[in-house]
Amino acid sequence: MGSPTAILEPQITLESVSDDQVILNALPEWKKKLIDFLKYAATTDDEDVDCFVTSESLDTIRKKIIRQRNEGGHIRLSKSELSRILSAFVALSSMNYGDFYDYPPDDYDRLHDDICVIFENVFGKKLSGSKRIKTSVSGEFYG
Amino acid sequence: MVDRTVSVLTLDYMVEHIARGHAFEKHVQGYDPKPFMQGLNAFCEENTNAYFDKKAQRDVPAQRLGDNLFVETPDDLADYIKNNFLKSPHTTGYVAPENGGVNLYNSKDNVALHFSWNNKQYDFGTIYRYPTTQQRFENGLVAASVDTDGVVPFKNFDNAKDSNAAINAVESMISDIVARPEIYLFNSNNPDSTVKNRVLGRENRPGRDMKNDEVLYASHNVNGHSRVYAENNAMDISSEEFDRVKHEMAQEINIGRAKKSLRSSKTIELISTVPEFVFEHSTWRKAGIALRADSLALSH
Repeated sequence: MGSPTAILEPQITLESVSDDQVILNALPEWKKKLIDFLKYAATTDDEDVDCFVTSESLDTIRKKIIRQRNEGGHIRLSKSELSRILSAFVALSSMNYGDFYDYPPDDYDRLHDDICVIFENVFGKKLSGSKRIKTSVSGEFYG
Repeated sequence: MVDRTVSVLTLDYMVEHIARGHAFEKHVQGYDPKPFMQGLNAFCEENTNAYFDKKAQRDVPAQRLGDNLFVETPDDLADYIKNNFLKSPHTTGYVAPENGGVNLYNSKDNVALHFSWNNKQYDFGTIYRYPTTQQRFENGLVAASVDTDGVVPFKNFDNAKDSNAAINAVESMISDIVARPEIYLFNSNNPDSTVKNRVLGRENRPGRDMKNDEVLYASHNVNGHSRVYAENNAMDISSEEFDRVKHEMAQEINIGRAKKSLRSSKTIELISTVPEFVFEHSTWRKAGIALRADSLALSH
């Protein structure tokens, strides 16, 4: 079964897509979690991450989101930036739960799944085995 | 103008760095912090460790990695890359626009290989095997395929359709690096942090940062194949040669252990500032670095 404390409702959602711009919605708390994830991915000792995305890219995106603090719950990204955030999650797909600062596993799972769903919706592409939050007895993510 | 330092870059050179770099330590010697991989040779073991995930409060069962590939030494790994992985009809790959790296996956062995000009460890990429390697590769490909703002265009390829596809992709990357080194900077905000300076500038053993390599970690300089790899790949090698490789590997591991026991910053600083210890690697070996380093630690 999945985690009994899993956060089942999406916390970062897609508001709109126009040309190259993607606008997301997130409460400040979840905006901060995404910013922290980008910092974690850019600075982790896991040598495999920068085979997928460079820390410079992740830093640039993180700073861009921080600069949007006055835009309420909106996060404005280019499509390529969204793909690079996804690449960071992909690179860390074998990460141990305890590694993402002091955040509980449920938070990481929710962030991961929200970005995957947004990516799939924006680009119309299906990611394989992409959901970490399991709501049935049929499967579970290990490691 | 072609930089002479950059022009030494070849496929063999990159493979040599990957096979003797962090990937050997992490994925062959098993210094992987992930609990399901700790202590495992990812290329020999067929399953991961079962473990208890404390944060998620649950048991995690062993998972399938793949067949035994018999890789035990750096030369085994280099040979596997050059003569098996890169030539295999089961190898597919793509060029990542964001950094120009070549990312490859072998579905038969469940092994991923990344050639990268600018990875953090300065060793030109990595090779690994996890239970999720296939999913990771496939999703990485999907993410890269929509990245239109990179230094190179996205491209994917399949050895099953063109047997030289993977090798050609790496050769193309190398040609591009030689032709346009300025776009392959480590950090676009810092022109001094180029691979030219951080990797190829090292004469002693290019590819590794001195502090990381020579103080904290064992250097993987043993030449030769393991008996098990040679036997499974039809190599004709003498017993004496196997004994030599085994002996040198054991010595190197012991040196690594001694170095790792000296992790205090004071000791590292001390060793790093003594010219004899910094520059004369062969002297370290011949004189027995482990004993000398221990003496240093004891006297401070």
